[in-house]
Amino acid sequence: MNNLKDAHWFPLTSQGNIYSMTKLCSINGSNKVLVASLKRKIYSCEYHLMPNLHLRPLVKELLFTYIPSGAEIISIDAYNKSDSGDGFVIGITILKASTDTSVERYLNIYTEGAIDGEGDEGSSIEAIAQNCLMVELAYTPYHLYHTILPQQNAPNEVVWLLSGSDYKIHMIREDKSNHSYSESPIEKYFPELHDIQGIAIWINIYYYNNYNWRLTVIGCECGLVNVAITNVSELKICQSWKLRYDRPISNVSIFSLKNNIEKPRFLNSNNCKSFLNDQETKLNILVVNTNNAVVFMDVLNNGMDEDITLNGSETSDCILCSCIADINMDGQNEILLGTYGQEVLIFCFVNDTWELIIRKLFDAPVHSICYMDITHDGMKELIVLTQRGVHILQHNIVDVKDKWKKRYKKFLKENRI
Amino acid sequence: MRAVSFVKKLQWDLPGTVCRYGLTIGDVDNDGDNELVVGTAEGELYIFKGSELWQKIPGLGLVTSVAIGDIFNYGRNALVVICGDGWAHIFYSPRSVNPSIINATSTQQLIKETNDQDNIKHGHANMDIETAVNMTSSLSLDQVDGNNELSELSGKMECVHVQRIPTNTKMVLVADVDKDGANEMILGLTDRVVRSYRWSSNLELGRGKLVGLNKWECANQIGTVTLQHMADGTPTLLVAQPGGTFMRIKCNPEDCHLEEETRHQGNETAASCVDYQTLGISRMRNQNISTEIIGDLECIVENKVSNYEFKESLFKSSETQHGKNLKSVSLELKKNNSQSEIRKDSLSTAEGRRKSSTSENSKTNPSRDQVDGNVLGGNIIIGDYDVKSEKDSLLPTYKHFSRQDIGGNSKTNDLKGKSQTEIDVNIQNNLLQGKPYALATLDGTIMLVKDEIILWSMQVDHQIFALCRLDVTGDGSDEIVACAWDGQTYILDQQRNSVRFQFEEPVRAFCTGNYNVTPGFPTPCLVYNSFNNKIFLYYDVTLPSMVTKPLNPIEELDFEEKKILDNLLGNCTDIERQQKLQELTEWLLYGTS
Repeated sequence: MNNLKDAHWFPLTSQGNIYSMTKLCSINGSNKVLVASLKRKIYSCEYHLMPNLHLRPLVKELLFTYIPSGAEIISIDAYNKSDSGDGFVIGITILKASTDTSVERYLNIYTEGAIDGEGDEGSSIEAIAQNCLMVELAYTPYHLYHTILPQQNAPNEVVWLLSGSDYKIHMIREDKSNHSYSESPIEKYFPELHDIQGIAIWINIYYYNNYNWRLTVIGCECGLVNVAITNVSELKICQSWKLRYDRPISNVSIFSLKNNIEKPRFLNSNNCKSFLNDQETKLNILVVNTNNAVVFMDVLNNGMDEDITLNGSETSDCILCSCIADINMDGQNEILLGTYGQEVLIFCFVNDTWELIIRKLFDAPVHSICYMDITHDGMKELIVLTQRGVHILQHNIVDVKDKWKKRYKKFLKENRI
Repeated sequence: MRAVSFVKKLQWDLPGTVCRYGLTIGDVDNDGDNELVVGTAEGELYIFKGSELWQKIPGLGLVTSVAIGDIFNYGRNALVVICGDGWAHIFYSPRSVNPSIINATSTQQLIKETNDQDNIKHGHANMDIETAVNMTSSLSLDQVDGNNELSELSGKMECVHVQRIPTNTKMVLVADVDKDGANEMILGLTDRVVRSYRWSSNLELGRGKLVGLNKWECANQIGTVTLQHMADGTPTLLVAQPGGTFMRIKCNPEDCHLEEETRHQGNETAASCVDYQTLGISRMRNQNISTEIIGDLECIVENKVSNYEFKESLFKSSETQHGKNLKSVSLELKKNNSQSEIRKDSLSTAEGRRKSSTSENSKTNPSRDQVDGNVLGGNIIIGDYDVKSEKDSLLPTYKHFSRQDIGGNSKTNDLKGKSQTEIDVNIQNNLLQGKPYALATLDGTIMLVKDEIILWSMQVDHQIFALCRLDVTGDGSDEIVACAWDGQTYILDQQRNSVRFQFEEPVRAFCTGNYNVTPGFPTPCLVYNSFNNKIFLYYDVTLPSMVTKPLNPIEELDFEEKKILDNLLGNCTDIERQQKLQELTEWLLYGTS
């Protein structure tokens, strides 16, 4: 959007890739961004509110243990395993050429030790960085992804999915008894991810209908796109599609047009619970090949029939990444594409088609985009990882304030307060 | 520190070495749009307009400094190119201010072959006659240009004057330094000399030339020369001296005479016009480190002086009847108001100042040096200041011009009038206090100084070699832009909020200004000359504010709405309240429409 203004920028000592940025979302609403660069340096970025109500960006290098010198970081991902506090689990895949012929590859998983009590929040991320569990890999890792493994009568477990150069997707799961992580056979849990016959560059899994169903999309290097609808409880693939493009698929994404943001509980005086209705949710799939981007609308009802090509997405070099975000705050998601041509293209859904509304130029090829609230104020910021550094862009405060005020008044009116 | 990355840029190849002051942005051809002018040590001058190289002028000698200004006092800009080997070139665009005149007469392109120099001569002759007879000037300057230089529809620059000057000039400044309404050319030389010149187009002297006015010798190497208006509107020259110090030169003879009268001492004319400021803590700084200075920073946010104090100060000033005393009174006021802001180091100085200013009020006659608490004085400086009468006899043109203004050259008149009102406004604004000015030393100290009190200083770990001004926030007050050799650029506002920008290469020369990439829309720009013979111009360098703030919508709600919100949030701790507010904001912005 035009009202997005540079809030901060920090350089990277070496470039990253499309897997180099992840977010750390705390329960209390304070969020961080983790950015890895190829040559072992990992930075965290957050904002501190100063006493004079100014925001101060805080970028620090995190020293993760067990990343040997000479190793290169391929991908980074993180999740919060705790529902109540901060239980971050950070996964980093590294690659190290040990001799001329052999290459060592590892998945390092950093998590708080089971014995550790509640540490104070400031030091916890540093503590996590020192607590590493290693999984040696027999393949070159690609996309590191995490998803929920629904369980019948236990709390949902989060597992790692890692795509590899061996044309497989591997599931890596915590072995609590041994205090380690190990690979589990994927066909037992994710039959749709088994036997994909390609190197998956991007994986996206979306659970709906109260974790009873899931939609899975895999985009492969060879141009293959696998889409599957799976019944979770029976572990049965109900419907699946295979699409082939003649270009590598750099990104796939499942999204709905509307964001379901729960009304804050303290506003519901009359106790009518605003519930999420998944039946009405129309799921769309964005498939980004390096040349252009295609959206398949309402996949659950239409299958992969109703496709809309994003016009203009082919005009700015190879597309590397995408982000789904309601960046103009109209309640409807927009599609953001980051390109090698140093641009972020923003598409808006108007009149049943996706229209290019904004192109924004950056200083280097765009590797990753993320739209999140890093300033802790409810308004999200756009974070763009380019080849050279990380840009944080903030909405124009004055415009958003007006919007806020207008909607607040409308809310008061509707509730006759 | 907040950092930003600017992406909109233009890039040109520029073979040759550019000196520190060898580039500037200004409206060189009087078309209303600003151009970038770059001179190289190889003697080539490049003028960039829009996204293109517009003109290249070869064979000038070692260009050390360029300046764009109304050196002829026509009300129109000319380009002054100073070469280190002792030449001053003046270029002038024959383009008419009003293009319609050219269009109307463009059929008469017969005089195409006319010699440039003749053109100019003819033009000046016309001017001189015109001014000499003090006509009401139905034939405006524009028309003279239009008639004589029809061939120059493109408005390309022409060399209109070449003159021998002393060698080793480091920088040039075109400004009115003696408050007479006419611009002077100030040269700063590497051999510690500051000289001033004024354009004279007297018929007896031929076509007109730059006439030397003054020469001041400094104690040390010159960093930068800048114009600074004092609290009472008196223009002064600030000459940066090593170690974060500077020399101040008052060029207006009347001011000096006034001071002399009050002091009853007429023997040291030159010295009384010059004083040396060490800015309090200078003894703690490295005395050999080179210094940059920039004066007359626009400052919109005034120090809040209450009406009462305002009146008091006015009252006092009417009592003392001296601009100088007024200044010290206002200084004292300022000190009282913003004591907390003043750094500890400068407090002692301020204390000293208060004493001296009170002593001044009680009609003792301290020298300026004592006022500033510094013993180093103007006596070091040898100056030969011209007396007033000599100036008048040498320069009849200025007076003619001013009369001509009254006569009716509308353009010039407008311009002059505007600048005059501006000056008036400035004087009114500055009744209380002078404008701030900034200093930076090579070891990375940036200081903002106002009335010789250091408002703040900041230390960075980069070697700052260039200090410029630029309004990046668009609020009317100037930000300070400091550039280091390694490309690190600091943008600071006058409240000490800072933003960093890293230019990726080492920098040889740097300047800022409002450049027109598209005609009619000047944007703030940063210009870098790298050691790889390239010019990078970052345009549209704007920031909505110097600090990032979170969204805080509550502050704009009225009382009733705030109360409802408080009820909604209920009783909770600050942290809970913050979280609830965050939730509410997220829902309002992204969950509703």
